[in-house]
Amino acid sequence: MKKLLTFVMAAMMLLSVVGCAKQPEPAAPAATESGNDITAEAPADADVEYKDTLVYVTASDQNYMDGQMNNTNEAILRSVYSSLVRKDAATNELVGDLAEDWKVSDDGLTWTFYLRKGVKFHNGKELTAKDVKASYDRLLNTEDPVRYTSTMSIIKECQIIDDYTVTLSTAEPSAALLPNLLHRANTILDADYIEKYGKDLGLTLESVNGTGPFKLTTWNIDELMVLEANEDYYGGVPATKYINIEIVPEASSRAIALETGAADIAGGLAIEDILRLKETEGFKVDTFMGNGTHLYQFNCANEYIANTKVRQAIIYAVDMETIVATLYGAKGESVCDAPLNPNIWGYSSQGVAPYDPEYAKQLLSEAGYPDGFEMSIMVLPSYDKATESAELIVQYLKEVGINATIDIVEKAVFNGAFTATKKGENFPWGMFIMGQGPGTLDADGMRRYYSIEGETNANNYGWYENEEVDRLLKEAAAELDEAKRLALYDRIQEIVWLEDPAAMWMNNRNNFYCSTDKVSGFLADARNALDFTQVRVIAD
Amino acid sequence: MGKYIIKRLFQLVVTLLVISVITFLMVRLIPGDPLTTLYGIEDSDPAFVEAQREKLGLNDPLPVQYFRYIKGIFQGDLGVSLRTHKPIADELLSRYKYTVILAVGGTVVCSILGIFCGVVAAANHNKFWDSAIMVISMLAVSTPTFFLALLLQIVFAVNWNILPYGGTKGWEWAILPIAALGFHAIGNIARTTRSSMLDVINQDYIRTSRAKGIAKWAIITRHALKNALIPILTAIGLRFGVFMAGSALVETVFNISGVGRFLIDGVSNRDYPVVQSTILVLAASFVIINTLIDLLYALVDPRVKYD
Repeated sequence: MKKLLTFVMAAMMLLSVVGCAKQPEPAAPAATESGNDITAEAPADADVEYKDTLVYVTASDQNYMDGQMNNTNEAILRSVYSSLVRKDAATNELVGDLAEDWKVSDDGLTWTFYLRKGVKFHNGKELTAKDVKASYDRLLNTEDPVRYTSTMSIIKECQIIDDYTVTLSTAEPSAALLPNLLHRANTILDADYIEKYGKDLGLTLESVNGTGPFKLTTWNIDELMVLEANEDYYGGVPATKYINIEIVPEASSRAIALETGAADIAGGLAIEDILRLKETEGFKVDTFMGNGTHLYQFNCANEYIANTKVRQAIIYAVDMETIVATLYGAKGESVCDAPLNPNIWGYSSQGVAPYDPEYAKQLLSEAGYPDGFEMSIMVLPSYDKATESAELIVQYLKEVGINATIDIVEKAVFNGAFTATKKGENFPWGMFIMGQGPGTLDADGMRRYYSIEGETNANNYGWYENEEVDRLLKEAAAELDEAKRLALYDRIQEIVWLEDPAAMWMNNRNNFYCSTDKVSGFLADARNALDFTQVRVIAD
Repeated sequence: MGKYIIKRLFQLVVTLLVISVITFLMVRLIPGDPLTTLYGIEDSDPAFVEAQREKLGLNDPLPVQYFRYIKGIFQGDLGVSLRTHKPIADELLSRYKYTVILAVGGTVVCSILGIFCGVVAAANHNKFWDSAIMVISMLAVSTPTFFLALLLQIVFAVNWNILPYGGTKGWEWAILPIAALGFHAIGNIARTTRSSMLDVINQDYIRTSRAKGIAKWAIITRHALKNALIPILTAIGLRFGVFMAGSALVETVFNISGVGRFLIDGVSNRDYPVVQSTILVLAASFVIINTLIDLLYALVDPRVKYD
């Protein structure tokens, strides 16, 4: 009996330990196809011998190799699949991918896409309009939805004109349609595979069939993925034949893998390792600007936080510039000066948030809390330096009389509390850490953060309500004139930044990859979608 | 003996049933739910999440879910992972060998070194070697496994580059993880051995043997150790169970796809069937090993009879 008890206790301890264990940081939703021009060949030195296999170590595996379901990150997804359009990183312009050209009808409701001819799936089948329609039919089916069905509700339907022409239609004229096509949910699947695998598409190796630069040839879940160069890729054959993606959950082990030569590129390293490797001979650090921001979201359902003046007071009370310089300066990350990351189309600088504790106290008095109040701040330990940032914020808030405590929780706990609450009722935190960054790389993404309406408010975690913002968001989405649309987004950002704040923004996030100095041509876009097409490793 | 084994088998079934109820309830007590963890709340279509929940039977009352699970177990079906939709039995089968290699290796290392140190300490009671070994045991017991694991990685993989940093290629992969796992337990076994040996050494028959002029080492190994073995065997058996269930840390640091890592991933993803079935399999291994240890008692000490 004693032994049984020992075992049960050990099991319970294990459960409680892993219950609080780290989870991979939620990938900041980010924008578009990776930066480089896929048709451009990276210069290969004829005298140098290159390896035919590159090893990349990363923290976690893909949960689905299906863009309509995948919510881990798009790291590998876009190496295997293509979409109608993509973003050219060199020019930051939206360019054709599977679609060679497109036009919009005079009423602004129907978009016609002309497909590239002769594109082959990895199993040799030619891609036609039928596959595009099947993909969109599956994505837009509200009767039997996939994960991103409501996210893509902007698109009404997809129709076939001929084998190489399709149309996408919207209910209202929408400037946001094209950027929305950059979302990972728009990766085009094989119609036959959709029929064959249904919702299990993308869960196993056999069910993956894309048109991208690499074929997935091995997939041992949570262990190893092997990508093999697609000889028929319409954008040119990738430079390195095999990309081995090894899953190494422990960050320090990934750094060690790089240092021992077991890996060529490592992602998701701790800042200490990044800074050390930067100074170590034989290694380099590639920094790519992200699409996301880290912020403390206000829970507007909280009795104190509901008051706009209280939210303003919190922003005035905290010296965010100093916090970011202290915690993230070494990484080269900058303090936010707008609700959007500068990499997002529509970003407009509002200036760094003001620091004025005296004015903060005055605002608190005006709000009716001259002696401050108490609240809890939630942090997710998986966010870089999250606890440290909360500790500093607590100190600043104390100086204006707000007594805040820190609650460190696991992502699953936050998700659970969020799902369980109705409009913020009994939601335990006054503020909570979050990452934001629209996967479309377009300011239209803000609709999901601030709008009140049912379907589009999935990311409005703070139950933020502002009728003007709501109205402007709708206007901006329908506005086809670019200058007018930018002006609308500028006003929206002005309101949520300080006028009626939705959050206290912290830092603009960068993406870091460490590699040996034998690696060249590696690119990651703002959304952390990796581009292995031009990568090469010099042989030893 | 046969009767005893049948009795133990019956106990095994009861134990596993109790454990299945406890784990079934425990995973559901951890805050968070599998679907919001799996699909996130960002951008997920609520209708889609609800349809998945219904499909996976997570809306059924708990007793219904439990009996479905138990029925599956009796039919040899450990269930399907909520995340990968793959049978858990297949996953466990491919991962079990790595965890067993680590647990057996760790047990062998800590038993040999632990017993040796314990015997040396007891034979030199209150002398230099006794104190030295007890200090080292204390150090071993209080060094966190993951810290030692990282230390070994840095020294042997990075600085000297003579052993792989992780993974499961070749046979060399097992050396560092086993060392990290075993070292921690050496202290524990050494202390148990020492105190058990001291009890025996003070017995009359040892004094008699010494009076008869038998060599000291012969007394210690042939007479004292054999009689001191039962508590040591118990400690080793428990250790093995702890290694099976607790190799998760080492598996994570050394990037080994063993059962422990599977369990950790299962808990992080709130993958209920994975957690339930993995704990059940680990518990079964634990109980079986301890039954075997109990049977070993009879071999070591003829006074122990089971009928």
